[in-house]
Amino acid sequence: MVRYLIGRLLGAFFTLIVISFVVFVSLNVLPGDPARLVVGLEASPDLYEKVRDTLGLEQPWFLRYSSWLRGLFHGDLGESLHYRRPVGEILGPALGISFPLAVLSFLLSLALAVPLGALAARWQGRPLDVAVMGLSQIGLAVPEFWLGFVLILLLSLKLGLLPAGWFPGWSRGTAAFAYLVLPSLSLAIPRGAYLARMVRGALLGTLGEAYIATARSKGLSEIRVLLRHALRPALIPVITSAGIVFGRLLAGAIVVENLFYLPGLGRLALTAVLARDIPLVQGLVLVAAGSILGVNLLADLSYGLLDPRIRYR
Amino acid sequence: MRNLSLWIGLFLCSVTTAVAVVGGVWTPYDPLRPETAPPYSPPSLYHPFGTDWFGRDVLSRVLAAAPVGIRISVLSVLIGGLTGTALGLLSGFQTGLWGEALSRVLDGILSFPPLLLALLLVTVLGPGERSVVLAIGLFNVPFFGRIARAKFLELRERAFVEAARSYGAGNLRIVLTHVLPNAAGPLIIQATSALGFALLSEAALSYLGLGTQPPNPSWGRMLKEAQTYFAQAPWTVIFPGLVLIWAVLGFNLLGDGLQVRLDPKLRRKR
Repeated sequence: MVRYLIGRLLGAFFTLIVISFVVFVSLNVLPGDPARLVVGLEASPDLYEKVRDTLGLEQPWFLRYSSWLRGLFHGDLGESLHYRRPVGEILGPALGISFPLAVLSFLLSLALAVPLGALAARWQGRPLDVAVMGLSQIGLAVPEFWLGFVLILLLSLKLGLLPAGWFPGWSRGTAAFAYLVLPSLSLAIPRGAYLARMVRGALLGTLGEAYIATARSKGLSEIRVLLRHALRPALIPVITSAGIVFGRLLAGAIVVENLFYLPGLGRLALTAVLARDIPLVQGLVLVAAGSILGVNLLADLSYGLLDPRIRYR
Repeated sequence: MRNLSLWIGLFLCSVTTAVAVVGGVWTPYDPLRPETAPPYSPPSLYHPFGTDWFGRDVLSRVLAAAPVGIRISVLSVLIGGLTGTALGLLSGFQTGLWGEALSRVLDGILSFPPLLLALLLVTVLGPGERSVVLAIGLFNVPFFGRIARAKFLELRERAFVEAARSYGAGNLRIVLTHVLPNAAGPLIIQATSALGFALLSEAALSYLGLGTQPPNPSWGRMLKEAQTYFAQAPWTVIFPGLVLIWAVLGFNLLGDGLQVRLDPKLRRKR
């Protein structure tokens, strides 16, 4: 178990280094000059040179990459070219929005997916199943930003139930959570639709197993058979997909964060990429890739809890 | 009517194709012409989808955007599908270190948020249709790669492939005559669903201002432009979105229906 963990962590670490290298190189070979974007087109050549110098752009890219890497080992992500502040200081507050948003959306999508998927599997081929599967197809086809628009129109503008369009900051305490509800709903519905299909498919697999027949023959109630015996092992493939969904949510809510004006990682990503802010992009990519690798590892570890037959070597 | 997905999907897709063909040659008004009616006119007989803030006809813009969206999706799935299939087969050949490395790279692409990947790529290449096609193509690569690799590894051990090999058939011949025909079903299914995802991704990139450039209409771009005024003119958001959903739903259902049709294992289960 410990050896397995160490191996996985080392693997994840090397993957991160490789990803950061690829991103760094590709951002450096592309046309577009960070210094020019910082000073603007009308700046004097003197000022331009000075900015280039302070940004360290005079050095060849491999020197800049190795110094970035050295900083990383000391917990220093460098300084953003666009905001002129340490990358860590910028990522922190953004993570403070994107992480709760991701958790809320993830929980909502599971709350949709597990009961609906279970119902559809239990009554496979019946009208209920057809209805749930039909709805999930529609959920999969709806672009999340269009869903965001419709939710704002209906729940915010027409009914005035929930606020939308900005974020007051966590100084408002838990009241700020209300501002995350509509964005997480627009993220959760397509993902819930996707996961509901996974739950149904996985359950159909386990419902045919011999031990389910045994459980039924013992006279257990149908609910108990479904929840305790069929669902638990069925969750294993679902958790793999759910892990990917959650990992991608953290830095992948670019469109929804832009629609709702939430200053999270996704909004930051758009700004950083457009400004060719290489240190900030690097930091964001590390967070995105790191969270995905971390969630994948957690998902793999959870299998042992769900299926006693699985052991780690 | 046992395969409901297939028939509904076929119907939705034929309508989408018809809309794209019509949108390429004819629209009720010039999609770029302002003041075909007062700005923010609600839907009416002459403007079934209403007009936007310049008084441009929303229906005409939705129609004109259709061929662009379809073209981008088809091209990107073609590029991603061919590259992915080739790489997947290649990584099946090379069972050693290279094959392993190749499949790691494919997995790496798969684990990244697709939109972030596209965002990076579009910045590298500059916004516009070509970059969007390549970006969406790129995140299609690993899906096709996996299918092709899995099929290759599965079939390599089968008797008919070994028989072909014993007659002296080379790797290339085996791939072309035995592996590809057997992998075609899953690859076609993947391609059909990928078309829906490509349409959604194109809309998202255009919504972020990285795809189709103004004044040309695109479904995603129309939603972005409507963002400021959508409380006054909800139809500028609702209709382009509904058309997009229609098209994506069609491809997804068709993909599902084809899967049931082409995969005998699934058919038995139903």
